[in-house]
Amino acid sequence: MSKKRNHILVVVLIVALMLTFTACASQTAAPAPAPEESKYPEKAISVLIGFNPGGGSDQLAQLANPFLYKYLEVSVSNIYKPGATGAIAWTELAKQSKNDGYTISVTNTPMLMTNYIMNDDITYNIDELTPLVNVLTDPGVIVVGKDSPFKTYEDFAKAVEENPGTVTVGNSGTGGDDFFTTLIWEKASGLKVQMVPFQGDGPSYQAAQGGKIDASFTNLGVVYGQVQAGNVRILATFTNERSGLVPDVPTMKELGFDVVAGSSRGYSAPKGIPDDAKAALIEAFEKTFKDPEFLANIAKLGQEPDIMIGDDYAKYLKDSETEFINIWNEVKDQVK
Amino acid sequence: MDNILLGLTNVLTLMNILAIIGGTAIGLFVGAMPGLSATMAIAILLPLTFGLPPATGISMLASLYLAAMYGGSIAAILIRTPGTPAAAATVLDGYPMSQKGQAGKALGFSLVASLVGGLISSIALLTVAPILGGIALKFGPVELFAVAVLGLTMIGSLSQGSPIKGLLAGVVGVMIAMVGMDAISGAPRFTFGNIQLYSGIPFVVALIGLFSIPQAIRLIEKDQELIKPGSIKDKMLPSFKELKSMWVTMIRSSFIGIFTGLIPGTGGDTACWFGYNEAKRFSKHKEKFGTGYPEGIVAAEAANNAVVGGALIPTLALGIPGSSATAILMGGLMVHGIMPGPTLMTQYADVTYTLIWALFLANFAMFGVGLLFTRVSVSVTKVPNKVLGPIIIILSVIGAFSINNNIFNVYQMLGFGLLGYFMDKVKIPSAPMIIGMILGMMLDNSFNQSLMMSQGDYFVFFKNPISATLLAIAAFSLLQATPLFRFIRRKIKNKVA
Amino acid sequence: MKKQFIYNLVAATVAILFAWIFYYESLDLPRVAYLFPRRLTYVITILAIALVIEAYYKYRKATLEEQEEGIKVLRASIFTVSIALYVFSINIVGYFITTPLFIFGTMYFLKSTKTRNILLITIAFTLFVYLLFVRFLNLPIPLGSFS
Repeated sequence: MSKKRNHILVVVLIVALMLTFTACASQTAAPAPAPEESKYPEKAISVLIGFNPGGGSDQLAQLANPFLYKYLEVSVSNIYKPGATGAIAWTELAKQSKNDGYTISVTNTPMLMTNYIMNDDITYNIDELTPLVNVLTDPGVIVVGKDSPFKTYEDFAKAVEENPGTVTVGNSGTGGDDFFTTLIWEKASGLKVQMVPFQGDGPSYQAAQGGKIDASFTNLGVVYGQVQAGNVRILATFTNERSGLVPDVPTMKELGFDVVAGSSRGYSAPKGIPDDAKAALIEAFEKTFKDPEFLANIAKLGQEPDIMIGDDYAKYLKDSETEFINIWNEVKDQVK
Repeated sequence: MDNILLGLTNVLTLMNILAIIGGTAIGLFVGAMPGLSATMAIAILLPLTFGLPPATGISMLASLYLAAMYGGSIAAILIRTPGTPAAAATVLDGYPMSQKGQAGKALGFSLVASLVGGLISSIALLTVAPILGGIALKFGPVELFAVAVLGLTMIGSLSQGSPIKGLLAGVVGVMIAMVGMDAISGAPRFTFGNIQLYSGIPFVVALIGLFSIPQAIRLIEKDQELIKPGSIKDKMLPSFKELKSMWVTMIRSSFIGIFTGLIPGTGGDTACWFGYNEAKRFSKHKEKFGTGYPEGIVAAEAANNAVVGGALIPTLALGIPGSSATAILMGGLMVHGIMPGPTLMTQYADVTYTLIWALFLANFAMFGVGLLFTRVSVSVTKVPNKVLGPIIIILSVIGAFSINNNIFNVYQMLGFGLLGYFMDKVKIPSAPMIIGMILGMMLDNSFNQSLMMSQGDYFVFFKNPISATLLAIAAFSLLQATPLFRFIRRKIKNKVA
Repeated sequence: MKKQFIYNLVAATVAILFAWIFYYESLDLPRVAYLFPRRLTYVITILAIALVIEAYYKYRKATLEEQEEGIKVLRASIFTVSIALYVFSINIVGYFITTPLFIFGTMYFLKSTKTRNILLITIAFTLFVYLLFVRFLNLPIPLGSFS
């Protein structure tokens, strides 16, 4: 009899335990709301990161979170869901996350769009998102190792012209920003190179630095430290104006080709978040962008801010989407 | 030289020493927990160190990285589940030692080897980093292909009993590594329309599944205990006499670790197998490997700890991270306004050399804290099997989940677990499958990249001195495994005699 | 030994099936992507056949029936099934409900130790996971219908 009662007690205890943990765990996301009026934000905000901790998206979020906390007065924490070049996190953002403004995500171009343009299995698209702000754009650059015979862009272009399809040019992976930059550049210049995809920006520029390939299309922020140290040379940047970080390097526009490209990082929320939430988030971001401390930290990463707010960012995403669809339709068959 | 001494005086402050000890303690813990990795811990702790002076914060994280390499062997030895991928090779001889009731001793060997490996690589980092750093740049696709081929030849020597079974497991492992988006064409391969498979199957998931689930089932399927409980009072540290025969192995493994760390794209997970395999190749007692032979533990553990210093060499000398953990450390330096790159050794020499000395001292902290931590953890061998079994399952599930915060990985882990249990019954070894998974992607990508760079010329692999040498070693290892080689050797021996 | 032969036969069949499913999947792939995996398919097929041949010779040669002692098949099967149930119910029911149930249930079934101790272990472990992974590491653990 007493043994049986013992067992009942055990069961009751376990049930109580489970409920406590489940309750506690769900409460971590919802601290006691302010009683007077329900006004956004009243609980913690989660930032979905579609890449590994330590990557570019994480770096941005780590820098921005303390400022968002300062201006929104709720805690902001990262949730990492890496995989499928961000598509796992962005699919979750578009399809599963509540559109209450408490889940936002770092959104990178061009991967945000090229993911679903190139793969039918990836089903989200930018129309299912509310673009909030763009924070920075890491411009595309052409780099060569310090011992490379190419001193200027003209040297490089001449070599490509004389040996069509054999000059080896690295990129960060098929479907990545540098892959598309190379394609856009090839189309604009009428030249043809042998593209070599690597797994990420690092291996791509390092192969150029070590003289394994002739050049690499990569991003300024990635190679900035190596440029300063004199290990690699930038031949040209894909920017509108000369970058303040490398003022001596000509832009592609100056060289006669209207090609502007790079990889941007910003923030988006699911579609249909409340207007007050959208406004509050954008306001907090605007304050952050004016904070000199934040700007100083961005500069430390070798990045320059490229701020686009709300509808401007949405238009930018939509325009880029159209551009990438066109390019992909043109080259799809030659890649496959 | 001045910089080196400056670093030494900088590191000897109370705050730095405390940071090193703290980092070491956390490292031991995350290393010992299957699923929690040093990379993850560094990423999570990084923002917390922003408030500290750069040298202190980064020193703490580097100590963590080092200690986790030893920590991984604790779970590998006690419960046959590698705590980190770098401890996978330690399982082969560590767990059999536990079964013989020598768990404490096995951990002692592991600790000493970790200390030696760590010290040798710290000294290399302190003295010849600028010279060795350049090696990282010498490894492009062509050379990496040769490394992958050389790595795969280990499968032959690691498949005890039946080479056919080992090869089959290895090739299936390579095939599994093909799952995911193909880096060359961008096409999703073998993903069956599921975007969860686009990034491939994380091999840590497979590792946890293949090792720990079969172990949990094995623990409960019989009534008698699998492990003889080791006594906490057992002498843990090996005597000098016991170590005497292993110096060569330890030093060899340390150099293997440093070089594996240097090469971007390879780290502790590869180094432990290389270290183990070379120890076996040069040993007079090949048959003892895999049966609880301390030299096997020593070979793997010296190699994985040496990776830490090795991976930091190109990071500090060139700003090129040698492993994923050092990539995050580099990000940490950038947030402190220190631009990684060659200027680290000159412009920021105070921070850099403080960090290097901190790593050097972390070896001793790891030894001290490790000794205490290990004494306590040996008591795991006293836990009844039937309690340990379910707990291993809980740890594996949360470990597999925490890799990508994705429940899908837990399902995959379970799948590999059942596969591992079945492989165990058919006596197909799982180690070759792990090696196949680690190297498979590298093999395919570097092969295609090399051919793109050479305009389709297959001889590119023989024209390059590094890859030609590595491929020759690979060919030699294959030959060594055939009866022909034994025949020739016997002939030569007879002639001499 | 006959059992071992059958096991090997099953293993070879599974490997060949696995390899050819991948081969079938590779049909739509571009050339660079299918080249290497298809070669692997052939290698796996050859090795799997070799495995069966090797096992057959061993079976012919061996006379002694090798017997593993004391395996409780039913117990191991129930344990394995409960692992699978546990894993697949996490996302539906919630981690902090299934986990204590799994620990308590399996240990009770295995008669691991005294009921009181099992309860203590259950509480201690759930607490440990909660504090470390939810509180400290902030992992988005599925909480199921109770969240």
